Amino acid sequence: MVEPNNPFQSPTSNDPVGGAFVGSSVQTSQRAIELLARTRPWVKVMVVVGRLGIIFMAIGLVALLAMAVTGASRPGGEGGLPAMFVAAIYGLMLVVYWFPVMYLSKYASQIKQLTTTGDAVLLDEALDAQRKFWKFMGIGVLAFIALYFVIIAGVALLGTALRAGA
Amino acid sequence: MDGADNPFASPTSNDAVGYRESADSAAVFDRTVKLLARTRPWVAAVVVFGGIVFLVSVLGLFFLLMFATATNMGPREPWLLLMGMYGGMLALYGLPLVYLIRFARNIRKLTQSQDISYLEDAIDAQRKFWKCVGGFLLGSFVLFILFLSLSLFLTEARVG
Repeated sequence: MVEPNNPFQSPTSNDPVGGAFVGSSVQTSQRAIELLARTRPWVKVMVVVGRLGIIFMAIGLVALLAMAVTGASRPGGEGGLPAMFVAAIYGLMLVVYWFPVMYLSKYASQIKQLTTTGDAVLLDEALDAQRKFWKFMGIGVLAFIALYFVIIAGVALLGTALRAGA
Repeated sequence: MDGADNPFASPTSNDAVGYRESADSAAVFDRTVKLLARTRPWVAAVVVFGGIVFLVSVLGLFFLLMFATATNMGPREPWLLLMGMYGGMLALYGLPLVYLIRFARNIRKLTQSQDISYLEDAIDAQRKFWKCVGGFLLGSFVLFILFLSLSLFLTEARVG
């Protein structure tokens, strides 16, 4: 039987030992949890805006695909090609846009669970979701820089080739 | 006696026990530190790219100022308005960068010292970053709605 005022009883599983443990998990800094809880609304804002963007892009993609199909069915059948090209770019952008929104959404939901339980493992899960977001953004930035240099090199080569041809 | 080979020696602060406690008895996991350490290079990549764009924009503002001073074209007000807008945009762009730099710096300090206060500072820096970006996004959205309503109203007034 557990007596609330007995100083000699052994600690039960729900007793915080020195404030560090709760059950089998380790409790992390309350300030860290509080700061993450205050981060969550802003992350949610980003998620909501990102999801709205994805929905609009998906609508645009469907419209472009419809244009491509109707363009291809016309006499000649070449009218659908530009729409198909733009649709392909739109589809690629949709995929690229999807991942950071997904990671941020995971981040926000892990923060919510963390604030409920205070479990340090959930802090790790939240930070891991955030790490994946930053990794994606970092790779995106590096890919963008590489693409920029490729485009510059391509334009320079094309210019040289055109000048040599003229 | 050195406790390195003594299985009965009490753990020291450098023992890999999976977590480290701070003064307020909260703990920082080794995994937490490792996760943040693996986050840092990507944050640094974004900071470097953002920094380059920021510097190019500052140079643009500088050349705009030089051009406006040298050419002395027309009334000064439009130039001042343009430069004010440019400067404001630069400030909005620079602030999240500052928070990201702080985030990366505190992660580095955390990995070096394993001190939980740096974990809190890192989380605080990223909170400020998200607040800044989220606020900026909401502000732009409100401005967009306002401009849209205003243009619709003006078009209606002109037609009417």
